[in-house]
Amino acid sequence: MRRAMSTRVMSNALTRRSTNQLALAMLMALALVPAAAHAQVFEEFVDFHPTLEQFDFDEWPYKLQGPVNERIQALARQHPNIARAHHIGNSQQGQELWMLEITNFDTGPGESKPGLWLEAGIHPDELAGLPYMRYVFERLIAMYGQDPVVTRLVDTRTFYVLPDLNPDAHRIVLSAHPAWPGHKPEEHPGKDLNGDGYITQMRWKENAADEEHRILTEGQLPDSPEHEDSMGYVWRQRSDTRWEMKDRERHWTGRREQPDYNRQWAEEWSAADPGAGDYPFSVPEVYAVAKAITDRRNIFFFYDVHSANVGREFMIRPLSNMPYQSMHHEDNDWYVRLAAAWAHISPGDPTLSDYYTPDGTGGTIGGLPPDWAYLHQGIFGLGGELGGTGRDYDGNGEVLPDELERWHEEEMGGRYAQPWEPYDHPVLGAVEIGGPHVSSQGQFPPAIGDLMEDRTDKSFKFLMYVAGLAPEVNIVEVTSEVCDDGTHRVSATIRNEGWISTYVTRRALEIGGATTQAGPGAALNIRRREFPVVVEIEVYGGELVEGDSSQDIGHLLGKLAHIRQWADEGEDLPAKTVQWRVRPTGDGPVTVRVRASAHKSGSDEETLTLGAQQ
Amino acid sequence: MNRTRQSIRLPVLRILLLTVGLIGVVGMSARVPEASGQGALDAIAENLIDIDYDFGRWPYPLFAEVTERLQELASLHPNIATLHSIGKTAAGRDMWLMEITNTETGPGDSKPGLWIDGNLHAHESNGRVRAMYFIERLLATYGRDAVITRLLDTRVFYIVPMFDADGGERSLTRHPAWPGHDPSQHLGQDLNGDGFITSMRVKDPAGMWYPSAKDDRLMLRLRARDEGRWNYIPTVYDETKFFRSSGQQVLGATKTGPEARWKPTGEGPPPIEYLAPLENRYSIYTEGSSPLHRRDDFNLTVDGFERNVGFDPPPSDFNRDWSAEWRPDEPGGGPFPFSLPETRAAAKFIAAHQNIFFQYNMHADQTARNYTARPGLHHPYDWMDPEDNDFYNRIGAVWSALSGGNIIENNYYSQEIAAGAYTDIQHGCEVDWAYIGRGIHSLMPEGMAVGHDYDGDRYVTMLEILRWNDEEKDGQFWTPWEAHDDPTLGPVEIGGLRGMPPALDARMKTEADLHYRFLVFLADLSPMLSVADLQTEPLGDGEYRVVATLQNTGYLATYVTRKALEIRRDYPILAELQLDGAEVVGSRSLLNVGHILGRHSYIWRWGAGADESTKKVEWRIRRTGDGPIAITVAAKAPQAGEDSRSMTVGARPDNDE
Repeated sequence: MRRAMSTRVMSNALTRRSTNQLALAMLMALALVPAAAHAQVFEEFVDFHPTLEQFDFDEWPYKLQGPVNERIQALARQHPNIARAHHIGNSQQGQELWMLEITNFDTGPGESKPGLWLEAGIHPDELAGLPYMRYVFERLIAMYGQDPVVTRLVDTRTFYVLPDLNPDAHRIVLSAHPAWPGHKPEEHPGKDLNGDGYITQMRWKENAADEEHRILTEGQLPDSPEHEDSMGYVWRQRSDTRWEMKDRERHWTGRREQPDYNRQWAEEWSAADPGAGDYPFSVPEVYAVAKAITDRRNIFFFYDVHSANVGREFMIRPLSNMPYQSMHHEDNDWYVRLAAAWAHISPGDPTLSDYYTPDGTGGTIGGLPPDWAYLHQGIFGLGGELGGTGRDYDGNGEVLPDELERWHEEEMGGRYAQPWEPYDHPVLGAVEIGGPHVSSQGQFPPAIGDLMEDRTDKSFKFLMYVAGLAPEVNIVEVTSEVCDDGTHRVSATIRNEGWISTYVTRRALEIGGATTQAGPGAALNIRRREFPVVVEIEVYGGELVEGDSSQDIGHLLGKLAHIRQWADEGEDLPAKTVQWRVRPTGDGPVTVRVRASAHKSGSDEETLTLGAQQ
Repeated sequence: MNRTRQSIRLPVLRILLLTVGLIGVVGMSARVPEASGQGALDAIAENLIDIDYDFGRWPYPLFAEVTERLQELASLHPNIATLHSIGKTAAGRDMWLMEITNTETGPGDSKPGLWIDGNLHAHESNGRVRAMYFIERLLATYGRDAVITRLLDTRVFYIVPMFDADGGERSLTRHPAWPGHDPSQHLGQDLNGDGFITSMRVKDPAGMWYPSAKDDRLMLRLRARDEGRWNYIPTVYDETKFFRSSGQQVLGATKTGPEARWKPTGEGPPPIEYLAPLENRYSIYTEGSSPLHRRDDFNLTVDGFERNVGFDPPPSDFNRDWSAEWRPDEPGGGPFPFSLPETRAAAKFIAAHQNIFFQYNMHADQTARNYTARPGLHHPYDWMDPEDNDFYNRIGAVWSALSGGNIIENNYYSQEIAAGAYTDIQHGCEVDWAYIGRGIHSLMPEGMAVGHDYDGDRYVTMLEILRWNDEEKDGQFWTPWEAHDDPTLGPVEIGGLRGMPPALDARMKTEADLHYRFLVFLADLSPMLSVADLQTEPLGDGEYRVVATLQNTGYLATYVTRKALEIRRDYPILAELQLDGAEVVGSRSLLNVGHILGRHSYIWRWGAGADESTKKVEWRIRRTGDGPIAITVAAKAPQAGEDSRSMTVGARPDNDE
């Protein structure tokens, strides 16, 4: 029945798509094994969402941390049943980091359900993730009760959304011009000479015969000293060689490059790496996030949005420094399937690890958060390089600089640049002032308008898809039979209805389980990163005569792992049965309450009154 | 009789070893300017002034008392002792750091520094006494002892006596008979009312313990020989399969049985069936604890890692929380490196003090064999740069000479690793972090000091500790096993060690004194920068060449370790020319001089004839007036200190133009 329905949905999906999408969907159908089962997930989590229309996709510059924090707290106040605001720490400059927890608190506290950690803004000059993450929590809250998928996921999952991990750098970038809120002149090179609200550029020719202009930031002088203000602070956070300070220079000035927040995570961290910082998690923002994540054992997925370059959008998967075969094949299989889903939702966009990217550093980046999530926490980690600006005029799937220029001219009316206008400069003489509103991100907003709307919608659907894969502990049935001696034999059957196994990753089994190792420290060898299913029973009006009241039944495979291992066996999902014997202590009815739970797999509860029929 | 023999024999051994050590150190220091290397000689010659100190106290002083004493010392010695709180522990205690240096010769961070911490592990609480003794002796002998006076004038010590102040407190209030005991903080209870929470042993074929054949009071942990390796036998309790990241199953079900390949030919110990037949095996629980809370830390001190008794969240080991080679599957590793407030505070302080060149972590492993661990804990020595490795070889020889044969080694070569009992443990240790993460030298001495070495073999075994307890301590640290009827476990025996101190009395005094001397020696090995010479040479046209000769009179190079160069945590010498009456021509006044080798490195490279302790720096200057020129060259490098030298060039002579 279920299979038949799935097939229908898949064919519907095929007929609805345009030709190039059709080809892709067929590829997907081949890639997804079995296709029918996956199509059902797509039906649920991808195809039928109402979108969020009231989100301001045209806002530029994006909101600063203060208003975002206020919004988070306001949402928590207005929707106390599904949203809670958490102050998880402060930035280096003392801005507060607020994270929004979204789940239906009537169905249990957040920690009792599988959790997703969604964050953005780790890099100083990558801004698109900020509105992406705000969109995620706005849409989750607005669509709760409206969109059946969102409603079900908010009832059964927990979303932890942190819209900006690095607000200090973003405050500077998002206040680059006098016309923008929060602008502090002393933090920025140059000066707004012509009072148009923007620090653009000055151009002039030394001689009339010159072919090329000389160009300088508006308001700077040709012999200005090297700029050493907070914009430098922003730049020095980039660990790319472009911005790495020369060793000698660091000794001159007594400064190092700032730590790169994306090199601070312990996995493969090396003191020698540019941007490594003093030691892993030495940056307070990164420490706050690591603590918030590891304090919550229910988190099974970590997602971190970047937006490095327009034109090249992809998802970054672990392992950054090793080929795919270094990962356990079951975990690798999950990422391959995830990649297929993303390529389906956002047609043609790849999911890669840095090890394979042509512009990657060839496997030498240490301390990356998705790798940390996977290798050190045993949960699935993913990074997104996402933009959302310009228009793909030639339909080749990428927005290239010339298309950006065309979009800016034709559709934006040149609003992100000032026309060149003459200006009488006291030192330089006659110059022209104008040009793009350059900020450290580049000259255009990293995501804006209808392209951003499209990208946010797709990435939202993708996240809902991932949320839908979580392990889900379910009590299939609780039965009882009366034995000869008047006791009741109670059986409970527990099944994982989710797509991911209750251990989440094989890596978690490698690193987190109880060990057989004895010797000093043996007392510390306890389950730390994989949490098995625990089944508990409470008896009212009777007593337990056989079976422990609390039992560790180990793990239950998820559908993906199960299908992968025994694809021929249909939907016979792994289930385990627990039995007890219960003796009535009085004449009244005996009631048992059975509860099954695992930190990353949610919980379920069933109550049975024994021998009710008799 | 044994003891008499030993007291005669030991000095002989010591003199022999001293000679070895002196060849190493004196031989190298023969050509260097005096006042350096002198401390090393003095320390070895044992002429440092000692103080009276109470090594007989047990339990050791608690947090409040140590705090009070530290504050008192800081107010008694305002010029040389400053007390800092570098952070708060998990329970909100201050993490005290005593900074000791003569502040009149410059602030602490202008001098080469040593970081010393004690009691990082809760139950290794003698570290706090050793650290306090170190502080007391430095402060009391400053101004009286020439070596100490010179060291405090030119070096700085940062001493944290109670690293895990919370765990240390819990460990030292473990038993109801002890002051400050809070039952809610401890596992188990005192069932037999002797004032101590000892152990319960119960016969159990699946148990991990058996009584020693030499003294059946003493319980030993099972081991078995299998496939040429020594493995602990897994029990019902820990039979869960465990996969290392290599994917290979280790320490799984170990086959033991009559077929174990042991032959009574003296090759290796007998198989476990021979020593401990099933009917003679025991499980051990903490007295009054539930079997659910079964712990395997029955050992010299009963306290294990006391941080989180309930195991939820899992306890973190303070010495697995540092980022160097940290691994998520390390027992006690915690959720991520530096997740504990104490280690974060320490790392922050050390990272902010670039002048620290040496780190010394005073532990007290529960072992008969005192040893000092060097970094690269689980790597063979050729993993380390040969120059750094050579440094450890040399200080190892000195430590051996001082202590009469104790060793500096790393876990790769320790007996557990060699025997295969622990295949791959101890990642994320402080001693590794200092070297790998900061590029400074470090040592982790294990200094258990209790009992008596009756047979003079330099190892104090559990049997000797029991004998010492019986003969010299009136049996006060042992409760004889006595039958008890436990409601859950049935008939058990209660007894075992009760609050055995990790160090006490004469052995503790010897141990503390040795570490004091060794630290004085180590402090003296720092790089030490001086402006040895300053010359000018007229170039005509009112211009001069200024040549300063910078010298590293210290033992270590100014980069301290080659590792520091590799990881870009080296701090080179900056020399600044300050002028009055002239200006610099053609260069900056502040120059990066790079590094200067120390005695260790240039002799290591080029033999005893080499001397590369100097480097010349040049500037060209031009008169800005006709008056005299005042020239000062100030040089500094955080780990080598600061120095400056001044001179004057006369007024412009008439014929200069």
